Amino acid sequence: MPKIQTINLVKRFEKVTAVNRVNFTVGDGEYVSIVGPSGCGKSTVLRMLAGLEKPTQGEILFDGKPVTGLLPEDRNIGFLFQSYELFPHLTVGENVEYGLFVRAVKKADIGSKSSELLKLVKLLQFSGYYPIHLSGGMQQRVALARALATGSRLLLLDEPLSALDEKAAVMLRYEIQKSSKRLGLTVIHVSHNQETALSSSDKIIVMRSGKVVQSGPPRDVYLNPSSPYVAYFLGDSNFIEATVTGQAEAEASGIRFRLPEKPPSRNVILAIRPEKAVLNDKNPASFNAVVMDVNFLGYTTEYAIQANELKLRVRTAKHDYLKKGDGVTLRLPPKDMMVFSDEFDLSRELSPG
Amino acid sequence: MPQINLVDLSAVEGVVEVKDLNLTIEDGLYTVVLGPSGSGKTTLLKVIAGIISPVKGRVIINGVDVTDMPPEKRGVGFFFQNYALFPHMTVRDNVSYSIRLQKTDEDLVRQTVDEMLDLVGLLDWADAFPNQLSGGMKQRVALARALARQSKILLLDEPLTALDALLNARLRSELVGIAKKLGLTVVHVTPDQEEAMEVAENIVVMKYGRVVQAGKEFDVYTKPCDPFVAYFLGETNFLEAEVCGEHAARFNGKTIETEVRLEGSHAVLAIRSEKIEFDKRGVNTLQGRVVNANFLGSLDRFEVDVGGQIVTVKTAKHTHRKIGDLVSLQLPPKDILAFKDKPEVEM
Repeated sequence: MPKIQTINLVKRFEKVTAVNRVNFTVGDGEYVSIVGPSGCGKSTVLRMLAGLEKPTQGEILFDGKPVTGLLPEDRNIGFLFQSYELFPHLTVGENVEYGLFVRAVKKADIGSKSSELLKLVKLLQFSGYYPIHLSGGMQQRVALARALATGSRLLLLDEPLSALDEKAAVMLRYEIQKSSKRLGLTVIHVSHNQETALSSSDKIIVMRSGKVVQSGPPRDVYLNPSSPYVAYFLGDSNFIEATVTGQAEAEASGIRFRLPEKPPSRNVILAIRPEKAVLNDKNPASFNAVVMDVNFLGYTTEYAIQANELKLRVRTAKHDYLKKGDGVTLRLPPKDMMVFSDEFDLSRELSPG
Repeated sequence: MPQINLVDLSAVEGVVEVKDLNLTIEDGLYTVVLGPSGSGKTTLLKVIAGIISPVKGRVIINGVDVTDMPPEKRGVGFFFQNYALFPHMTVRDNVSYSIRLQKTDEDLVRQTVDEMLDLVGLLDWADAFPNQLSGGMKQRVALARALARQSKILLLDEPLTALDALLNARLRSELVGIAKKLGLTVVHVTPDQEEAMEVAENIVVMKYGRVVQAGKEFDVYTKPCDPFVAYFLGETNFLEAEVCGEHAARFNGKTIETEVRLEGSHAVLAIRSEKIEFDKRGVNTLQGRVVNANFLGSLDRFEVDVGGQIVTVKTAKHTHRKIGDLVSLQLPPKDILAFKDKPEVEM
């Protein structure tokens, strides 16, 4: 039995349908991320799971039982929000003890339990500090310890990393992932950061305009996106509008591309990840192109490449070997090509809204 | 001629301090000032803009000492995080406001505003009011307003921070495009190292009110002069080792060979996560067990326990390693840097 199930979940605010017939299941102990741009309805879904919003229609089941009528405090959930929401007049230790108190842990055990949790989030030596003396990342770790202290097996995270500096956010996201696995928690994490979602999750749910557009294990969704929108939102992709010219071949701007499969329509949208395009590999399928720009990104370098009218971005770990104006050959391996029907309106798929 | 010179600059803003800072911002380049919160980067920007007066030191723009000049006389356009637009004015009026202070020719004002709105992709929204726009659009209006002053220097304080991922990615490349098209000198402040790497030509890394390193982006990344720079920009492993030769040190019972010369008895060896290779023969191999595996899209990231120390590895090669697997890691000698200490890191 799934830990959580939503059935045709709908939320309307006056005339706006924020969440539109959303169905998904979350297994016990799974880490699930809900991703999408702002306004896609992901936070509203989370708030309904938490009991902070009432669904207009549909049902939410925890362990097979409807919870739609239950108050937030009766749902046995731990929360973490964007703002840390610690009690400013309580020390780090006291903030965590509050979570234990809510759970009605025996008074004699509170001290040792609190220490155990602070050790887990690596803040034991800061137990006597007040929140104001801690960095944002540390405060959010206190909030995590307090959420864990309530003893709930279900943790709901609403963009808990987005107020932090990137460095602190990356560090904390690995800590949350590891702690939740160690404790066997079920986690639902709402995020607009695709890298966080890919790295932490057992399953990703991609939303757009109130609907679920795709869900599955991160690698599957990344490698087999069901629409140009998903290919664009998760990771990064180049898009080419092409005309089919053969069994498994299409053409754009005078260049022919081998496709991995029979195309779904006469005109197609091809997509390829910047890291999958291959420069200068002497393969006969390569075509000529010119380097328009070079951008060093640290672990990789991005080259803006132009071939006839086509403009593509290519990323490789080889640094400093090409410069602006250099002639190159480029190859798009068929196995890495993603092919979409031209029924998708590309400009709409790639628009942020 | 360098366009902005900061000489022995000290400034205070609340609890944040800038201390005895000397820095040259080069003409026509896109410079990113990067640092954790509280490092003084925004304060520095405000001093250049003239919003804060320095406690001591000089601000020199194009050879002219502007330290005592008001902001509007300095010839800089700026954009700060709280980009309040006038709610009762249309997009066009918001953008033209800053030009009207300087110019009177209505046709010229209109033409300039249209150009700037076109640049940020909002010409169709010229007659809309701020409350009809999304957060990202408002931010672009504020950017157009900063550009409309047509100053050759543009100061940007976390211009992309409040945006969601898609818009952030899109505006990153737009910003660079606009700056290059107009030949601007840009100073862009951010705590986000990925954003910095994407837009910067030059990078200035700040910590505790001081510049730790400044230079070409490639040099700062590949030749960090301080462990903090290696830590903050990208992802780096730091291994405490005992020096046992001019180019060798002992770590976890193994001898690690380096190209850099080692001094003293103790060294912290530093290597980027993406430079470590799995199961490759050669010198400097370490055995460990995978304790965490994360898929990052274009990369996989692994945490490997090597004798109690976690070593992170990033690889673009397809690999089926999973938690619990025993692996061998190879550290190419040319990619190992050496420092005296580990970075001082705020948790």
